[in-house]
Amino acid sequence: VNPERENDWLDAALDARPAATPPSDFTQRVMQRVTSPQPTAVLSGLLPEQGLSVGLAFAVFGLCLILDMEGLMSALDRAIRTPEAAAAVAVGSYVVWLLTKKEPEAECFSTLHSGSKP
Amino acid sequence: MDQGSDEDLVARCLDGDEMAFAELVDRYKNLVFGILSQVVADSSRVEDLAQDVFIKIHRGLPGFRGHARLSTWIYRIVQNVCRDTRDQPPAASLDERDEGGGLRHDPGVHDAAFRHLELRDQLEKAIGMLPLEQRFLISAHYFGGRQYQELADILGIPMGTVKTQLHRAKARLRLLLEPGKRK
Repeated sequence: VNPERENDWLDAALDARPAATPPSDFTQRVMQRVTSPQPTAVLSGLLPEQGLSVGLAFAVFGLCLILDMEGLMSALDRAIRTPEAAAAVAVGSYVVWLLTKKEPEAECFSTLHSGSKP
Repeated sequence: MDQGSDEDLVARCLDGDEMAFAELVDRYKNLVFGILSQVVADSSRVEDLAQDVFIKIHRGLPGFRGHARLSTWIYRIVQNVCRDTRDQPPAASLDERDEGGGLRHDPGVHDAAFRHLELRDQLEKAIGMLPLEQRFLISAHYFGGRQYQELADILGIPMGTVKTQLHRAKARLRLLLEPGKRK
């Protein structure tokens, strides 16, 4: 007898609740996904310094296009007028973000804290 | 299936042994699939979500420090995947409820086996009305067999909160199922 149960009709019904089972080839399908490179995995496969170099090169290239030796004051104006420069900065930033992001540690519900008393 | 410990399995996975990860999937796929099938309303998404869980496990293993049991860590990932689905099934329509707010039962049903199926169906509908986190707790406690303390560890909340949430969930289920309860 589980002391955490009331062992009534509801506990019995919940215990008897059916659950689906995975298909027979489930493990194979997972392994296929694990072993086949994903788009972000290809980027992540670069050495960190290589990735950062690529990203920074894009970013610097974009900044150079924006600044174009005319100084910071006109940078914003030129960024608006030269979308390819802004796009280069965006791509560079995105690549840097892709290469530096980490798989988040499993987090827990925070919603359970609210409105409930221990 | 290899009956080695979870710690050995994780160590082999971290050494790049793909067969070890396949063993890990084999060991936990029924649990993951079962929990997801009970928590997520859209059954057509269960397999994709179960695969997502194991992909996250694979990616997250290098960061798994072994402070918690492997099963506890996997439960957390399942819970996060459930949360990310934003799965909120529609509440049962009003015409499925009786005047007291409970789910309506067909008074003409007398056969015991059929009544059992009816109760099961009503139970699923009632559980579908619970918040997702309560559905997860119900499934992890009853299907997964997790005790209060382990549920608290999984969710990172006090054990008292687990008790409260389970109590609320069951009270809600009793309210919804009261007309058709079976002793």
